[in-house]
Amino acid sequence: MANYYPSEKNIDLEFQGKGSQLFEIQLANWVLTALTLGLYYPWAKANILRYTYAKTKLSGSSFTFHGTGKEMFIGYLKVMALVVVFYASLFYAAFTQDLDLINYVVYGYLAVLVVLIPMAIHGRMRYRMSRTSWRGIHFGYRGSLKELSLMFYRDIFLTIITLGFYRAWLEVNLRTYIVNNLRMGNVQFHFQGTGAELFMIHLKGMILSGLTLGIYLFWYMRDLHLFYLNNMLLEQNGKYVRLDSTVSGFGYFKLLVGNLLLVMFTLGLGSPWATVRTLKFIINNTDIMGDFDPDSLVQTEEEYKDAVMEDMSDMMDLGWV
Amino acid sequence: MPTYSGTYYDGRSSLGQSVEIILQETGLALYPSSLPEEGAAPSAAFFWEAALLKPNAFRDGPKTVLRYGDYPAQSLEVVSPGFAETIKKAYPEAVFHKNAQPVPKGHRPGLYVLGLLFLAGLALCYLFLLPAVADLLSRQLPKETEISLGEKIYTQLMEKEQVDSVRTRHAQRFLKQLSIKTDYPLQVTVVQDKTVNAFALPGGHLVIYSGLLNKLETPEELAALLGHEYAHVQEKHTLRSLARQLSSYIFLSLLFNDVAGLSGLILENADKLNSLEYSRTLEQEADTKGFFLLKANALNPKGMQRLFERLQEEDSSGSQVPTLLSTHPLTTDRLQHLKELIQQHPYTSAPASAPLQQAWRSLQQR
Repeated sequence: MANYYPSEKNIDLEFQGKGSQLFEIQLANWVLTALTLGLYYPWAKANILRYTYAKTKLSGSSFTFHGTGKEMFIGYLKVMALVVVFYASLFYAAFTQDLDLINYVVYGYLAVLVVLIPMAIHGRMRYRMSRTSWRGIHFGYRGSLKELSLMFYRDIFLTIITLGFYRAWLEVNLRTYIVNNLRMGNVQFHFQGTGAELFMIHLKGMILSGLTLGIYLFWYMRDLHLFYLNNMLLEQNGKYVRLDSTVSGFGYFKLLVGNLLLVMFTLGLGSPWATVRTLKFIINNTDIMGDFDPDSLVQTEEEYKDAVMEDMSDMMDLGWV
Repeated sequence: MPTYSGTYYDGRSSLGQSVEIILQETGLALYPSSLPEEGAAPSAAFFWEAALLKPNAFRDGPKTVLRYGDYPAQSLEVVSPGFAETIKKAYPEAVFHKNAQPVPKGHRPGLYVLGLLFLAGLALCYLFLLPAVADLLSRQLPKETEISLGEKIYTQLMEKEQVDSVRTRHAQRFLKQLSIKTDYPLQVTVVQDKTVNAFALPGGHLVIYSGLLNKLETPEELAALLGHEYAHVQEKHTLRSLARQLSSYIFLSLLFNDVAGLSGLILENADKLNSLEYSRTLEQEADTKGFFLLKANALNPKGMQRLFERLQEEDSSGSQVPTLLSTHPLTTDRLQHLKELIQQHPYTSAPASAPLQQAWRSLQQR
């Protein structure tokens, strides 16, 4: 690795949100989303993002989410159109009672989704990063859709012909490409994990989870979390700064079991508190190690307008990238 | 004019600058509050026109963040409780995001009550209105469509199964001998498989696995089993529960698509629990109808009781958990329900008729 300067200074990332505040926002969101039969969803999402960003602080200053429901609504409509086309063809197939046709529709839809994944990732990263700022300095994603797509299709192919064994490399390649194209003004992000490391984490996690009847899952999640976070580097003015997470397996256990009980016994009403607990757990356990200078960031991004893929990736549940 | 102090970011660098803010008629005048460093040119005051203030300002407790101008926007952070209101009052033409303004005190209890009432309404919809609508709609499906759909599913299923054609013929003969009032072309099939199970498809196909058939010892038990499965067909149970599951799934996913994956998982399982409860209700309905079939044929209701007991034995022996039991009411409850039915609708039973006996004997020769 390059010149990484250990330092006494470590700059804290903090999440200071409150479950009760998020609940107020969420309550209004639920009511409006239901009353509009889901059309309010993009605005609901913008409300939540605006709140959670504003409550996340780096070196005392909040992050800002600038996106609006209006921007995301157009993207949402396009995704909805895709969903409607899918259901319409499914109902048509069901109506003709041709069971083969139903299968074709489902497989065809899955194929379309796989083809769209790189577009979804790319669009979401570009949009989300362009709408995120800190002290007025915008984040940016500078990956190319072509490169990302070619890599993704190649890796998906390799994953299929290796019966899934290549999956760890697929995940790491994607992550590396995305992170290496991420910027926060003139700060450049890097990812240095390898597929082999992730493969070993998956292997160990699966074997031990099986042997311990699932108890090891929490430690497995911790291993994945540490792999993804602790392999992130920030490069500022030629110096490297490292992200460092201190989550523990027991911490994961407390978080998830607590969230489960919280949501279950409130029939879902407690989910804002669960969200806050999760964000606190992740963010408050993350430190920035090294000589990060919060006062010397420089704006480098151009203005960007497009929110189509924000919801696309949402619908496709791309949380794993 | 009031004066505030805050931190100014110029949108080009992350270095903040302390400023004094003076509210003027047409906008905000900002003055650097600290003296410029030696050698640097003294910074002059600059001016924010009220009309160019950006709408997505943010307010968090006493802190207000304003943004100004085109990309890259400048921003101003002011920590002062009255600032947001003062700005709003001073520049009515400036557009603020609603979070930029304080929530009026006293509006919250109303919001909570309204919100909770609404959620309660949604819960009622989910628990009562939606199932009723799904039920109504699935009953509207034309019988012909149902029959041909069942036929298609049957053909697909039987591709993988080994049909015992001889016993199927005998079972069909047995079914013919029972007096059953039905709108559907009932067709029973015996499948060579040691699974202890039986099921009904929409439109009239009844399928019995030989594993279950071999466990039965009297014609009454078989009559009870056929009666139970026939009831599923007659009452469109499969379609109704499908419609119900689909509608509640769509409802829940519409409502909770913004909730973290975890709660989605819980909701889905809660929905499964709910539909399990529903399927038990349907099973009880099928038991009731099965009982009346035995009554119509003057067959001994003990047959049904023995059928339940056999299924329970199979369950407790644990060798192979009968799938029939998992979605069914607990056997003790079913027996209790049967007992009540016998008490409420007593009748004198007769031995099975000769043709029925004959079909039964042929069925027993494997």
